[in-house]
Amino acid sequence: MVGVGGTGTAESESCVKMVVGAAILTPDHEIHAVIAAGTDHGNEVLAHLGALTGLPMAANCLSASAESGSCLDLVRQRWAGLLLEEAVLDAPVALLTVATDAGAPCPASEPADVTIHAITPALEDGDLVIRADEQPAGAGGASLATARVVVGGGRGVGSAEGFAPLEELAQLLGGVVGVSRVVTSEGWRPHTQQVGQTGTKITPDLYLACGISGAIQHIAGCSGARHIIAINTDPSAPMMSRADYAVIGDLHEVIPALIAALRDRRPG
Amino acid sequence: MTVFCLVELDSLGVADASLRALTVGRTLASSGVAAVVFADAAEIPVAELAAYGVTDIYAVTSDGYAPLAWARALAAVAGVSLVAGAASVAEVA
Repeated sequence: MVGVGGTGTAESESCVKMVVGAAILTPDHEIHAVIAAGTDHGNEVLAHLGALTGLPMAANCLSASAESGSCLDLVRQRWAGLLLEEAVLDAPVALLTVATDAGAPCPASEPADVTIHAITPALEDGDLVIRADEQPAGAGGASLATARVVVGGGRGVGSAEGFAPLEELAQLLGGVVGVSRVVTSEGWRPHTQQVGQTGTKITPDLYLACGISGAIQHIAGCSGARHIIAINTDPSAPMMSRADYAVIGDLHEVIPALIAALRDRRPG
Repeated sequence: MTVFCLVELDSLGVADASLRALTVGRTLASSGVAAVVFADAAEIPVAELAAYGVTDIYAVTSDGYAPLAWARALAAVAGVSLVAGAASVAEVA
């Protein structure tokens, strides 16, 4: 039983009134949904929306179906994706976020005709008390959670200084650097760059895992990557079996070679 | 079902995670999906959103990320009254 602001008990359901604005209230009182990606922003904004409205919010859903009529049937991730829960969301307006490693994006069969509405919101004094001064983590303004390419480094990198080639490679690939938990524990890199169960879940097109053994907590954070290339001296490391391509070798030799090859291929 | 989707942008257009959300949202929507984007209309990749079945784009004026402000604006756009609700999420399996 979860939900921001919603107690979800049978008693509370009978005595608390839910009003849906005229903008989406339809004669048949069908349910409606407000959804977002299960990113830091998406989860936070919908949690606030739940608190403002008293509606429950279901986070990190993999699928949703309205086949049962007045409720939504959900499958959602718990425990950073280690557990899948089947749940029923009973609300006139369903608030849910979609896990960042849910099914691959799929365009519609044909493009829709779009109408654009410019909106200037009416805010209250307290609405802007919390504002974020955000700075992009990598080239092109991508954050770790949204980067299309992530170059990951683990214990095998060996030191804080050892990340310089990974930074260079990430820049060449238009990506960002991510790290394993042991790297942040060693103080080599900040926790904001940690990939995994207690860090950021990533969904890049390419995850280049360098010197990362592949603990299950780390796998929980990178399983949404479309393609994984692992570089490790240990062929029995779990990350090597998870990878689409595995390079058995020393990352301190492989990465400079990759950088040189990429530079050779650049025009001019 | 009417579906509103908060859409995030990155340097390449619509963020991959938002495209996944739109994909799920489209399966729920009885018609098209409405996208709520906190950006100037000129910055919004309209064609990319149209390709994912978005029929309405709400371009909301924003001066950076402010979670409560975004939530209140999202509520206003979606027409969700700010009144205590009655509902639940119940685990069934």
